Amino acid sequence: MRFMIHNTSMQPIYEQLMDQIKTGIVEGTLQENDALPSVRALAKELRISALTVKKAYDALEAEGFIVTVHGKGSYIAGTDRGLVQEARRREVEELLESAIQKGKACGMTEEELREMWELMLE
Amino acid sequence: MNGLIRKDIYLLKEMRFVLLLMAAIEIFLVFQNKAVDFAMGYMTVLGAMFVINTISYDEPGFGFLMTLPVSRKQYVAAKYLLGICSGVLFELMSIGIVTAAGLILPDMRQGWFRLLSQAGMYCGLVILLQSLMIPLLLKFGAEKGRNIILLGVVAIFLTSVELVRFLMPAEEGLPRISEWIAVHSGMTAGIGICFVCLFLAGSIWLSSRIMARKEF
Amino acid sequence: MLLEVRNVRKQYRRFDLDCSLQVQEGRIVGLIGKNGAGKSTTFKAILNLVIPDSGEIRIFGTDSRELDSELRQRIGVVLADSTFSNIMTVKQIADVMGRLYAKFDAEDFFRKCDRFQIPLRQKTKEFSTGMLARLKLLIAMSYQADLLILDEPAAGLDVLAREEIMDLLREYMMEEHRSILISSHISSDLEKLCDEIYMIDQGRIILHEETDRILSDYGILKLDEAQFSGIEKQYLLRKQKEAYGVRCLTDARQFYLENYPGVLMEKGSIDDVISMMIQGERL
Repeated sequence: MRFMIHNTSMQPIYEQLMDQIKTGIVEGTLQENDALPSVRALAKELRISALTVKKAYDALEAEGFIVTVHGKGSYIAGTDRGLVQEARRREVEELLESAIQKGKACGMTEEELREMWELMLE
Repeated sequence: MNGLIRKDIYLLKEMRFVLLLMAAIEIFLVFQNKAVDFAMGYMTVLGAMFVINTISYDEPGFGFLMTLPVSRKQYVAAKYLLGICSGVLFELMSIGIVTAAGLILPDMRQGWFRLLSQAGMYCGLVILLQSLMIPLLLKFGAEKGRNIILLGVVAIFLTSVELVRFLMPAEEGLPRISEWIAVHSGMTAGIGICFVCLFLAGSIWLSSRIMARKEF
Repeated sequence: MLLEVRNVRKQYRRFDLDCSLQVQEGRIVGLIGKNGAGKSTTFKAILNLVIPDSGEIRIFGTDSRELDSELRQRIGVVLADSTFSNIMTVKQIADVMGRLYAKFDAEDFFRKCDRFQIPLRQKTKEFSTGMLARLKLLIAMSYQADLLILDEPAAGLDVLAREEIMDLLREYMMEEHRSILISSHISSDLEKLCDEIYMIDQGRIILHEETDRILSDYGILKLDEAQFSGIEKQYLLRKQKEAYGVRCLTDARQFYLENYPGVLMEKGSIDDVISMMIQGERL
């Protein structure tokens, strides 16, 4: 699996990494028990700090997406793809929710919001 | 320490042409002018200069050298060891040249005793010279140190010449000293050796102290 | 802790150093600052080349003045201005190294020299700046040292050559117990290499932060006067007057992005952070 980092993006690098690994799991390019590159190897490849990679791996582990065996490396955990999808769906929901709130806060009606939504989907 | 000495040998290798030139000059002096005493002395002083030169080669990289797994004391020790070894080596070379000259030119044949005692004396002189120079070079650096040494050597030479001249009439002075030395040769040698050893020990102590406090 | 510098002070006529820093096992730590900020003096104090007036330096848990040959063999050093005499050839240097370091790996060393097209039988005084810089680094990396102490290892090189040096270091770090302390006055080199960064100015450490935090949490806010007066100032580290209003440094970028969606926010590059830390006013 290839990773790509946008150095100029506002999104923190470790989040970019996490997103890409999650995407890999959802799309099936990363399967259960697939080994991830070691922290240093990935840091070297992407020319980023090893701590950044570690932070991403630690967070992924906390969320149950990967397992780290001490002294051996990190592997994709046996997560249900549906669960991952569910988690991402929730993220989208949250984002939409905050958009709606912001819209309401500046006085937009539900109708206006829906219109905007339709327009953007096109 | 092994590594340090190896490094110095490589640095000395750089001076091998100078070495050949010096040997050529010595051979020329011995054969042409039959100036055996002068040739041996000359070789000695130049021999000592060699070691001093390795210090000036070290100088630009002193900081890095001090991060190697050798202590500052070991660095000092290596320099003295190299100095003494090269002094002895040069003396042996001189003996070789003079002996060879004696084989070819019968009138230049030297007695072994005289040759060896002379070589011994010059060895002592090299060690004294180095003991004087190494601390000065370490303290003031090659550039400044060399000038100080040059001035010092000239000053010592002049004062000793003047002293001898003051104590004794010119024509008799030197022969009288050598006569005295010839009579009391054992004692002179003993005193000489003691003096050289003490001077060397003092110099090593001083150099180690200078190195210990040196910043790079 | 592989290296610990605690309140090391050194007074010179026009400059004084007062510095503390730490290097943990497995980390690459950068020391960044302008020329003359105190980087080299710090490194020289660590290496016992200058004698501090006070403070303590411990390497591998041992007082740096009492490191024996064995411990010294676990440290690899590049100094900005000194290395083996330039009348020696690489072959001769390798021979000397072999006698100094028990773990010196001649075969690997020569292989790497070959890779970087460093001639073995030429005196190093004939080398270009780039070749010499690579050689110095290869020497420091030739005996499996656990701690590399590198003062400006890429000084004077162009971007490509610098990148190559940084890649060599990343490669060296593949052994996970190793650590590096590296200095540079070029922030972009360190930004992509180091796990942690210390910024030094006028002999003082002005900031110590994980690189990841700087890149993901630090930011520069550009505010007009009205915005500035209304904004929460708790997470602002420095401010600086500008023609348009006020420029502020924060270490909580996300907070301002979420709560003040209208404000202009830039990612803080390490250079920005340094210049704000030095020139900006405290709030």
